Amino acid sequence: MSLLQVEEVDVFYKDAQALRQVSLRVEEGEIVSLVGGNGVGKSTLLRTISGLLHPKAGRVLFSGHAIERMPPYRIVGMGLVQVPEARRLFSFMTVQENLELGSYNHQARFKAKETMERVFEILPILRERKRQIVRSLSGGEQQMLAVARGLMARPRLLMLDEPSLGLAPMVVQELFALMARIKEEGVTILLVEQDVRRALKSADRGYVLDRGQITMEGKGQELLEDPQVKVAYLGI
Amino acid sequence: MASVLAQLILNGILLGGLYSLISIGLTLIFGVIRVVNFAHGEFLMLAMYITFWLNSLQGVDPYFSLLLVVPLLFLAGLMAHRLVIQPILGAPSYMQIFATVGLSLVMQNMALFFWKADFRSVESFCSTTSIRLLALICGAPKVIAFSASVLITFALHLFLKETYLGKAIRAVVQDREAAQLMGIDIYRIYLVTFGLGTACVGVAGALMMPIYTVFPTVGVYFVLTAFVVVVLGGLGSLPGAFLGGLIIGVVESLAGFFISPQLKEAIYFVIFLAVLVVRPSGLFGQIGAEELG
Amino acid sequence: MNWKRIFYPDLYIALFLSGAASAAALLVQNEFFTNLIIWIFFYASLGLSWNLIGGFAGQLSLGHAAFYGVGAYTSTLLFQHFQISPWIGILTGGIVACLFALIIGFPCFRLRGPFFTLSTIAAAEVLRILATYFKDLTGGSVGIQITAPPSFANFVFAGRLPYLFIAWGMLLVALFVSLLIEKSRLGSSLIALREDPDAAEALGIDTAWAKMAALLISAFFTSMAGIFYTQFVHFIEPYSEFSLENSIQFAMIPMVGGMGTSIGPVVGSFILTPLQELIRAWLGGRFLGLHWVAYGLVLILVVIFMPHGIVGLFRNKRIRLPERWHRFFAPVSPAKVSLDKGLVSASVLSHKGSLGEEGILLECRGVTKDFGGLVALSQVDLKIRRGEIFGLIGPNGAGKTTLFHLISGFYSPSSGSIAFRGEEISGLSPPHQVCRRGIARTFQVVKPFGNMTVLENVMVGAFCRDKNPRAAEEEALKIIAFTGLEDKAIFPAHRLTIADRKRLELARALATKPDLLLLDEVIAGLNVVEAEQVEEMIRSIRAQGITVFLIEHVMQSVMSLSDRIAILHHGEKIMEGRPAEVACDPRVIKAYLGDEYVLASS
Repeated sequence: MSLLQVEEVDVFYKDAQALRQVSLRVEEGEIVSLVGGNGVGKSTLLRTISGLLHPKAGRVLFSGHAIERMPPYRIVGMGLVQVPEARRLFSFMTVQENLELGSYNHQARFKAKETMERVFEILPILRERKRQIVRSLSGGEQQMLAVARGLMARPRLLMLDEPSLGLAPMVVQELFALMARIKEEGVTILLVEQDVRRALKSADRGYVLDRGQITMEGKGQELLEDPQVKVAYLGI
Repeated sequence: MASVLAQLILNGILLGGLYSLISIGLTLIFGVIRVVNFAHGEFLMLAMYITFWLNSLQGVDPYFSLLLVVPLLFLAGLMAHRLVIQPILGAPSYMQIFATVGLSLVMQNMALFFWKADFRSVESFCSTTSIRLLALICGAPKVIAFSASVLITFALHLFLKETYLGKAIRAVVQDREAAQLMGIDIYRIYLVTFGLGTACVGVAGALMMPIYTVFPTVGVYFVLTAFVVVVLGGLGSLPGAFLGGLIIGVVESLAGFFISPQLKEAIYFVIFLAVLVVRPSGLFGQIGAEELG
Repeated sequence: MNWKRIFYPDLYIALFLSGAASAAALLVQNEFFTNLIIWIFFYASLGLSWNLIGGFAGQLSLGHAAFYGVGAYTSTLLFQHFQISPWIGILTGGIVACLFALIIGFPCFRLRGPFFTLSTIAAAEVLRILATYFKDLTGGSVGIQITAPPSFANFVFAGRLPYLFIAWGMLLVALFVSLLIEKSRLGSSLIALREDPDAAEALGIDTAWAKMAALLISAFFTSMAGIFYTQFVHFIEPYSEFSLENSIQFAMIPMVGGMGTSIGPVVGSFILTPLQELIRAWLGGRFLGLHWVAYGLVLILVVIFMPHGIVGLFRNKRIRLPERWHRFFAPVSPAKVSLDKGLVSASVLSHKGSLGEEGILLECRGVTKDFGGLVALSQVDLKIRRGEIFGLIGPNGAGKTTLFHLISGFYSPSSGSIAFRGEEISGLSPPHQVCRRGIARTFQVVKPFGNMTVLENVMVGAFCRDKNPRAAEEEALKIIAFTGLEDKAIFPAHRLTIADRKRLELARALATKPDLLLLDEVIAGLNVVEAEQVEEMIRSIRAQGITVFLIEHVMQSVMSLSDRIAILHHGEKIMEGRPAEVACDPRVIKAYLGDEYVLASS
C-alpha cells in the first residue's frame, strides 16, 4: 500500500477543470517530484490533497484512508503536511511563533518543544533569529522557516510547492540538501518544482503534469534524460 | 474654566472606556470572521437584562453577576454564530447584513415581548460612591467600568499574544488558508472568536447597569456608537478600538457641553462619515479592509 | 428608447395584481381593506425605489428613510409657511432629496459592502437628530399636524378612495420607471457593476456616475412616497420619518420579493404587507413586539434559504411550473441574425491622436510599479505595432498581469509612461476611461456577470459604443455569432462551462470595439480542441484589424499565435523576439526550467 495514492481525480477550480483523471502514488521513504509548466495544475493538485479543494471525482488515499472529503485540519493531523507556494508565512509574527503554529495540531502539540529543538539543530540559523519578525528575514531564510514550520507538524509525508521560487542558486542548493536530510529523518517527500533539473535529479521518481493531466511518469534519472520534458515546458 | 474642561475630559475618558469595552468585541469579530455584526448591540442589551433580572429577582449585585453573565453571553454568541452566521459565511456581504439585521430585530423584539418596554435600572453597593481625583470628581461605577475596560483590553492582548489559541486566531486573520494548512480548524476559531466577542460585550453590559437604564432598544444606540469607534480605530485592531473609544467619549463629553446635549450624537456621526471618507481604514486598521463587500 | 422592450411579463403581472386589488377595494368597500390595498401600493413603490440602488446596483442602503423624511418635511414646511401645494411639494421635496443624495453619495460610494450600509445609517440618523433638535422649524418630536381642509390642491381628502388611486398611480409610475431603467443602458450598467465592478469598469462603464444616477432617481421617488405618507396620516414627526426601522422595511420588501427585478418589490409588497398588517393586528396589540420578531425571522430565513427572493424561486426553477409558463416568464428571445462572421467591425471610431511612429499602437517606456517595497515591474519597455499579435510570457509572479492592470487603468505606474496611439494614458483613471479610448481586456480569472444572460453580458460591452438598446443588442448578437455562443445566447452566464465563459469574456471585450485587445490567459484551462478554436478566433480578430496583446501560459498556443513575444521575469523584461528565437534563448530556458537545465542542454 502506497503512503499516498491519488486515483483518477477530477478537480474543478472556479468552474474550470484544472485536473483531469490525475493519478499518482508516493511510496514511503521516497522523494517524488512533480514537474510541469505554469498554470498546469500542480498547485491545484497539492491543494486538493491537502483538503483545500475537493475533487468532483476520484479518490485520495493516505495510508489507506480516504481523505478527499476531509477538512484540511484533520488531514494535517494524520501527518500529511504541505509547505505552500510562496511560503505563506505569518509575516507579522516571529519565527518562533510560526514554528509553534506549525505544531498546532494535536498529535504534534505535546512534542512541540522537542520538535523545535530538532529543527534548530538542523537549521541553526532559525535559533538565532527566533525572536525576529518574519518580514525581516531574507527570502532564503523564510523558505527554510517555511520548511521547518512544516516539519513542526511531525509529518509522515511532506509536500513542498515550488520551494525554490525566487531563491538564489546557492540557497536552492542548501534547500535541496535540507530535503535530503529530511528524507534521512524518515519523512517522505512530494516535491513540486519549476527547477526541473534539480527536482528530477534529487527524486526517486517523477511525474510530468501538462494541462491538468499526467503525461509522463518514471524514474527521476530517466525523465531527466528525456527531451520530451523540455517540450512540455516550452512548447517547441 | 480649566477645571470644567478637565472634568469634561475626565468624564469623556471614563465614558470612552465604556465605549471601548463595547467595541472590542465587535472589532475582534470583524477582524477574524470578517462579518459586520449588526446585532452586536442586542448582545449588550441581553447582558444588561440578565444583570437586571439577577439583581431584581435574586438581589445579586451587578458586579457579582459578571460571573454568570459572561459565560451566558459566551454561550449565546456560540449559538448565534452557529445558527445565523456560519450558514452565511461565504455569502455576499449584503446577505450578511440582512441576516444580522434580522437577528437584531428578533432579539430586540423578543426582549420587548418578554420584558416590556419599561426602563429598568439597578442600584449597586457603590452606585452613589464618588471618587476624588485631585480637584475632579467621578462616580465609582464609571471608574470601575473604565478599569475593567483597560484590564480586558490588556487581557485580550495577552491572550492573543501568548496563548496557542490566541496565536491561531492571529494566524487566521493573516492568512486563512495557511492557517488551515497548519492544522487549524478555522470554523472552530470563528466560533470561539464570536463567543469571545459577545463575552466582552457581556462584561460591558453588566458593568453598565449601575450607570444606565435598560430597555429593549438600548442596543441600537450603543451599536451605532460601537461602529463609529471601530471604524475610527480601524477594523480588527484592538488598540484601535480602545483608543477610538476614548476619543469618541471625549468628543461626546465636550460636544455635549459646548454645543448641545441633543446634538452630541449627530457630532460623532459626522465624525464617522468623515473618517469613512478620509481614511476608511481608521487609525490602526489594515488598509483595504474597507474594500470588502 | 425602445418602448417595446418594457412590455414584459413583469408589467402585465403588476398591472393585473394592482388592478385586481383596486377593483376589489372598490367592491368590498371596507375601510380596513382599502387601507390595506393603499399600504400594499405604497410599500411596493417604496420597494421599487429602493430596488433601483439596492437591487440593481447592489448598494445596500439602510438610510433611505433620509430621503423619505427630507421630502416629507420639505413639502410640509413649504405648505405650512407658504401655502404651496404638496403636489408642487413632490417636486421640491424630490429636488431637496436629490441634493441630499448627492452629498451622501459622493463620499459614501467609495465604500463597499457593509461600510456603505453603515454610512447610510449614519446619514439618516444625523437627519433624525437634527430634525428633532431644530424644533422651531420642524415641530421637534411633538410633530406637526396637517390641518388643512380637504381639497385636491391641499392633497387632503376626506375619503380613502382618492388616496387609493393616487397610491396606485405612484406604484405605476415607479414600476414604469423601474422597467425603463432595467431595460436601458443604465440598467445594464447597474447590474454589471453589482455583479463585478472591476469588469464593469473595464467595459467602459462609469460606475460612479451610474450609482449616482440610480441613487438620485431612487431618492426622488422615495421622497415622493414620504410626502404621500404625510398627507395620508396627516401627521409628521422625526422618528416616524427618519427611523432605521423604516429603512429596514423599505429594503425588506424587495429582499423578500426578489431584489434586482422590477416585479420583485411588487410581489414582495403583495405578500409582506398583508402579512405585516395581519401579524400586527393579531399580535401587536397584546403581544407587543412579536410582529417584529416575525419579520426578523423572515429576514434571516429568506437570506439563508431563498436569497433571490420569491421571484428568484420561479426564475431559478426551484418551483416548477408547466413548461409553457416558464417560457412566458423567460426573457424575450433575440431575433435570429444571419451568421456573417465578417461583421465584427473594428475602429468605427475616428482616431483620436496620431498613431505615433511607424504604426506603434501601444508604447511602454520605463514602466515601473512598486507596491511599497515589493517591485512588481521594473523599467519595462515595449512597443506593440498595430495589427500584430504580441505575446507576453514569464514564470508565475513575473508581473504580467500587473502590466495589464497598468495599461488598462486599474493601477498607475510608479514611474515611466504608457502611450496609446501617441497619447499618454498612464495614470488615467478610473479604468472606464481607458476602455473608452479603445483598449479592452479580459481577466485572468474570468468575471462573467453571472445573473445576466450571455446576450445581456455582451450587450454591456456593446453599450460602451451604442447608447440605444436595440443597436447594442444587434451588435451583441453579431459578436455572439462570431464567438460561437449563439446557442447559448439566452442562458444565464453562471450556467456556462469554463470554455464558454472564456469565450464570453472575449466576446464582451470585443463588443466595446477596441483597437487593442488585452487577453489574460484566455487559453489556459481549455483542452486541446477548445484551445485551437480560441486560437482561430484570435487570428480572425486580428484579421479584422484589432491588435492583440496576450498573456499566456500555454506555450504551444503562444508560440503558434504570436508575431513577437516578450518575456518577463521578476518584473523585468529579459528578452523579446520572434517565437523561435525566444524558445531557444538560454535566458528564457533558465527562467523556466532552471540553471542546470541550460548547462545540460548547451
